[in-house]
Amino acid sequence: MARSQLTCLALLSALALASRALPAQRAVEIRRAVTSTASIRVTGAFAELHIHGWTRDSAVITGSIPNDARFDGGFMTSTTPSTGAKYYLETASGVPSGRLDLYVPAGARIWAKSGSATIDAEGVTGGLDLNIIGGSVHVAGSPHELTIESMDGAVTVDGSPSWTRLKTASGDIVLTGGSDDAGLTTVSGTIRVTAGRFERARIESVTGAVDFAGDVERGGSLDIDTHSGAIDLRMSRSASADFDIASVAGTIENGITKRPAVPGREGRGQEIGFMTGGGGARIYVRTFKANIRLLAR
Amino acid sequence: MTNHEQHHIDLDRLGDSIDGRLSAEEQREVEMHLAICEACAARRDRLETLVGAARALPDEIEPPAGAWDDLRERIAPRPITLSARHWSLLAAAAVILIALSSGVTALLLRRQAMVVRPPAPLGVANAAFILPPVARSIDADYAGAIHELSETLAERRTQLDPATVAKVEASLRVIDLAIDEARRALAADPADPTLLDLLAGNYERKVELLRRANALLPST
Repeated sequence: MARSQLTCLALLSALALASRALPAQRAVEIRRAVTSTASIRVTGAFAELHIHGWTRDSAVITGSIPNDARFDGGFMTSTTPSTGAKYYLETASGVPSGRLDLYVPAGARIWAKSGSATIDAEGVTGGLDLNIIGGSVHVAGSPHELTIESMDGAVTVDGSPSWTRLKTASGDIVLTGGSDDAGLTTVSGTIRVTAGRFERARIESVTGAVDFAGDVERGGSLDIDTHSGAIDLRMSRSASADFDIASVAGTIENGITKRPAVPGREGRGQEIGFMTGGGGARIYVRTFKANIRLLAR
Repeated sequence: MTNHEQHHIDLDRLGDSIDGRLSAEEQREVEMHLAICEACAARRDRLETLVGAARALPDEIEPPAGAWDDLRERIAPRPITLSARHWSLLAAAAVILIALSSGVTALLLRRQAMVVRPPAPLGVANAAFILPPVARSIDADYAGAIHELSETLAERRTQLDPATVAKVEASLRVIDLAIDEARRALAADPADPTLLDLLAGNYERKVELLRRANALLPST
């Protein structure tokens, strides 16, 4: 057999295998004029959802879904522009499949929920409420309100949402940007805040490590508590803050001032309290048995 | 008289024997001695009875309602006239009581130190230690919500993907272990405010996780 024939055969085999692995797809395309603050809800078994905030007063849903999938729903009012829409994707196998692209006015409020999925959102300034079990969520931009819940899916936010709640069971959380009011919670994932200015921030973990490198407003507050998740707190030596730090059974390493930590209650664990920059922000850190490192940046 | 009869087995060793903490060879030696020494065998029997009774004690004892009023009435100061004979009887009773309570406490503490319980089943508190009232009040604050959410989840768990159930259960186990550690630490230091906060925080996370797991259930 000639070499070119062999190549052809290999390509055909690969094509046949691919067509068996991927069910036949059909296109979805829905367009409608909507208000600038429309509420859009997309739920069901989508594997990928890409949300784009734009400056037009219309919503567009495009994508491809399995031929045998049901994609039901519609816009909420018959008048135009519509104030919202609800869509639901159901696949025959129940396994998440298909990709949807959702274009909405930037100020819209989006509510999306799937099992295991990849959700990306960018350019939304209204509200995002995203819920997955596995997969990942990535948000770029600064929505006014942002809620993300996942079980083991990773959560990444590049932006400064005014109000945000990020919750996982074992998924990692990364926030690059500040918030007026932030709540980051995990059971065993890690939480990393790489930058940003915070008015109020509360970070909670059971066993996951916490690494905070943001700034806290002068009259603001930062609360961190973990059971056994190690805590790294990276702050400027000139930050206006009052520190109250304690580990019931772990150690504290202070690299922000020269003051050493002292033994805690009944001689176990360590604690330390000090002020920098004339005081201001309340920094309150508690852990049951993890070690805490206060690092200067 | 054999060597075994000459050296009786001390109380600690007898306790270790009953608790099964001796090596096979040590246990064999003890058994051999008990077979020929009536005094030690009798002590072993008494100790076994005591340990059995201690095991049967509940982990926590709530006084019956109205007990405090009754107690207050009984201990209210009253004119008492005691004869010298009464005083000596009371002193003897006090000595016996102290000895008994010290013995039982020592035994219980020895037993408690070696008890390593597996993690409690989900939603069930592990109470192998005496919790201070403040910690019990935190337990009680969350017990209702945890029970209700756990029950719903247990009833409808088949409606969830098994992989999701496994993820939820793994995280609940992590939280339960943290709760258990915090409760044990509180039993040793009931007044530590940090421990109280951490315990409450762990319960919050458990309720939150259960709530989220319930939210994953298909709506009925």
